[in-house]
Amino acid sequence: MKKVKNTIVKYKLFFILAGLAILLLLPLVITKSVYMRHVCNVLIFATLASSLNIINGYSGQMCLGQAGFFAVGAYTCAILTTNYGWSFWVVWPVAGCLAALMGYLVSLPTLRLQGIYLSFVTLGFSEIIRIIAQTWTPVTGGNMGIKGIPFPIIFGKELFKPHDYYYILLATLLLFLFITSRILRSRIGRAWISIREESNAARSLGVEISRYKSMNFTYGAFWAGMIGAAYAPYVNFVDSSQFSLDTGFDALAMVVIGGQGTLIGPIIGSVVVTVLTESLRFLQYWRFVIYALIIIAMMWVRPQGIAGASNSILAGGKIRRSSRKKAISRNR
Amino acid sequence: MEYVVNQIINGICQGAIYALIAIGYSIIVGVVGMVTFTYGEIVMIGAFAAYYTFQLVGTNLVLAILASFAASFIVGGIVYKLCYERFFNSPRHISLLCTIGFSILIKNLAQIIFGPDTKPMINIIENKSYTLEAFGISIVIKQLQIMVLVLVIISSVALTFLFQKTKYGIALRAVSQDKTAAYMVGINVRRTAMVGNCIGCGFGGVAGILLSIYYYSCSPLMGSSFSMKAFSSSVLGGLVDIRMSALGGLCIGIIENMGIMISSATFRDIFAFGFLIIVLIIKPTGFASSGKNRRVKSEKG
Amino acid sequence: MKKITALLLSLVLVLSIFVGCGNQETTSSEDGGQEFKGTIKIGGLAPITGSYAEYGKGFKYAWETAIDEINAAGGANGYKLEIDVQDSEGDAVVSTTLATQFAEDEEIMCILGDFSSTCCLANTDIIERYGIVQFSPTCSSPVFCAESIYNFSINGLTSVEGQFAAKYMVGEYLGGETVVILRADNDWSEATAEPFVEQCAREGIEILADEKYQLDEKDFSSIITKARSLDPDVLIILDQGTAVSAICNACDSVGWDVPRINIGATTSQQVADQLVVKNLLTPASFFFDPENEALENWRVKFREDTGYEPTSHSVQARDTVYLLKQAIEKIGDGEITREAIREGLYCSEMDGFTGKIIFNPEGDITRRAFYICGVGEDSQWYVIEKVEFDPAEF
Repeated sequence: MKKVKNTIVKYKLFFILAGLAILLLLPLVITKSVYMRHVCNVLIFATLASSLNIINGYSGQMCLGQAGFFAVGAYTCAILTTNYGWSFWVVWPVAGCLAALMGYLVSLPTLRLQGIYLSFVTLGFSEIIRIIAQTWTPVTGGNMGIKGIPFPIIFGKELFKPHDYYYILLATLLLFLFITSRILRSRIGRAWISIREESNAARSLGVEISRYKSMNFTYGAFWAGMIGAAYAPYVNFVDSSQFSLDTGFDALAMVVIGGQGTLIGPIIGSVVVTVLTESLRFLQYWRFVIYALIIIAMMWVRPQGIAGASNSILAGGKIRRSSRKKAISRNR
Repeated sequence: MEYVVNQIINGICQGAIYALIAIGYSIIVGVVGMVTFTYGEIVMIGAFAAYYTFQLVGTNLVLAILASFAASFIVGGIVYKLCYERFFNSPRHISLLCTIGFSILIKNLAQIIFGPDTKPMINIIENKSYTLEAFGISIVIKQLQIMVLVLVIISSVALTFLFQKTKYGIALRAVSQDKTAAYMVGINVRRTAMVGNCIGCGFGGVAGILLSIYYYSCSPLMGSSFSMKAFSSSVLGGLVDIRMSALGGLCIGIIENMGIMISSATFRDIFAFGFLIIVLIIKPTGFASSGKNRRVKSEKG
Repeated sequence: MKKITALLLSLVLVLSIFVGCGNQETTSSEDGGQEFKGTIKIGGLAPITGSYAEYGKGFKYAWETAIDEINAAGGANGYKLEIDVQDSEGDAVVSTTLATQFAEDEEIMCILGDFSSTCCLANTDIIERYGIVQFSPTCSSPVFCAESIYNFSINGLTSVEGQFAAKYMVGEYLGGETVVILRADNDWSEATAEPFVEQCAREGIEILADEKYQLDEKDFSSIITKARSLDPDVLIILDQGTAVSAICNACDSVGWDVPRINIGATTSQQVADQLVVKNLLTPASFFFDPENEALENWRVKFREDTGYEPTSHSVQARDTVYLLKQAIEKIGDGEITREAIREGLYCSEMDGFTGKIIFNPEGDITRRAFYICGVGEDSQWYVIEKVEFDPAEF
């Protein structure tokens, strides 16, 4: 095991480049649009789950309302490109920034709150955004939604095919991974993790908890907005029903299944969940029954997630593992 | 004037419904110390247990209440074993995801077993209403509304008594406050927590019957919107305090109806959530005095 | 690690058992023994899980039984029909992915579905690009059919329903002068309310209030109190499903016996069953007429096979299959292509279970007759009056 790890570390650059090459060439290998759409769905949810992971995984807060930030991004893009004719490339960062602003606003009251109370406020926020989207007809189209969202155009080519759109989504995810991995290694990232692991100690060491927490929320919301903006042209039609709490819960499930607090975790989670739900299609009505059972089983077998580290507080720490040993010995 | 009074009455009745489901919710959260997203489905199970009792043995309310209590008690036990027991020392999101998974499981199973349609529950309790005349204002109150209101008051008082005065209740409270310390003084933590959770679920089941009779129907998806309201009410009440949760439910009901009165029913949830967020900003632990809630606060999200 | 492998293995095992079962079923049902010219594959999109599962399952059942019937009777134009119904969960992303899957599969000649207008509208761009028909039994969006020549729907232009209710039901039948509208806040109710309000203005009927509520609303007491304080002659409920009966029951529980007209749920048996006081009228292009033998048999079989009462949505789903069959027959000896099916559907006419269906050039249908139906004390729907009209008069 250690040997493998060493090899990976040694040839890290090589592995990253090889992975990149595979990802870039993927559309050439997959010819059918439908498979490409599945890949695109995975990328969308991977980025959404990753943005949630910034908040839940790195600073240890519990946000249940990621669908709200996602909606802000998607609607900003839909409104500005469809009704005002802005170019997607201009709207994209604008949508991210607007979602970030929302994230900042939500973070303000939540700084005083902890645990369930904080989760609740984020959940309430997400529902409020959805209802506003549904009722503010002059701007958001209300119940009619916004249809015919123009596809992004690059070098005069309209990117409507999933094969082309894939690159936009891939770029979003890679950009996210690159910037986030930098941030995590900086003072900010270390501050977030210290808040997660032991907030009192962090405070005594001079970490301004409230500032870093709200920065964390803002950053997480920014990426939810970015992927929301990329999502809108992809589905070509947005309405409020697409941003229900379930969307947020789906992202949460992906984060936890993949491994909270790791960069790769939400991506793995997104792949696993998508592959599972798609491969279970033949079960018809029983599909979600089996899916739910798998989620619960997954939490029993590997509560820290597939890619999760077992030594962080997120995996339950030492107490968690000893109780599991007990459970195993009892079963025997 | 009559209109305003009637709307306030509506608000109180609606609030009583919220309070009724919030009571069970706050017992669960209080004892287990973790948020649950299966509660709505427990309420639904209770309603369906009553529906099938009525189908099989005819309109017998007592039997139906027993059946609902038993059914949701058992499901509560399964939830406890699957979603909580293993994860007491783990971070909260794990059991939270388990409860979300369990909720998906029950919802889909119910759609398969009970059928996806809405079942009628009419003429269970005589649809009697009383008209009060005072100061030239006439107020119409349904018999069932009075029943719900009375049940909320009785159960919140009785449960508070149970929690404060009886030995068993004290054990439950000890478990809810500090599991390790409770274990050290010789309380069987696992069993106490399990029974507490099951009682909470049983209450949810009974609330489910009243709910389905009140709205004349039950369906596999009836739980989700109520579970959100139960969640809001107990957050408003400070999560673990039964009386405060009931009060929270009442407040949300009244605020919602006041909101509907001045604007539109579309904004119902905005009023509920908006009110809650404002309360939480002013007082981060809801209505409960902050001392009681140190436990919930100090735990990791 | 061992544990995970064990779990995965057992999972694979369980899944393979399911696969095995699935395969067996399909092979056994293929013994037809009839001679077909070939097979025409159809894709079906329906939300068979999630909040709309009731309707999605109804779709699946109606499509599959209709296709079995057609195949047993020699197929459509001598071709055997085959449908592949996929679960769209009522989710736009899933639905678009599935629509792409069908559109890319060159054997699939037509897509039936989806249920909700969110999904249908999201699919529009895809089906337009691939040139395949999307034929929805129930898409309620008023712009759906105009959006693409490949979009068809037999939900009926809801505007006519609203205008009919205003002129013939509120005006002529009930003689009401003031109304309050209660409606679910969705695209369908918006599209229905607008022409209703306009027609009311022409008939001299006053709209006292237009109250909206959220789709999952359970408690209607406050909006009922609001509506009652205005004291209208007629209460109009624009919604589908159980909210209709919930509103009526909320009225009755405060002892308000105003006449109520529902537009949307048509003659749903579930709604009738759930009414405490049977006081409800509806304009229906179609109702479960016990005297219509074919329909009644179909309804009984539906109830036996699925365990619940069908709604008009399922009947509409059944009609889509027969319209498709008719379109395929129109092609005659020509090659069966997606384009040919579109041309076959274009402006076609048929007598279905849901009444006379005539497509207008956009691909939507316009009703020419409505029944005014009411619920009897035995929870059955009865026709009070059949009114034929010319849509141009509105």
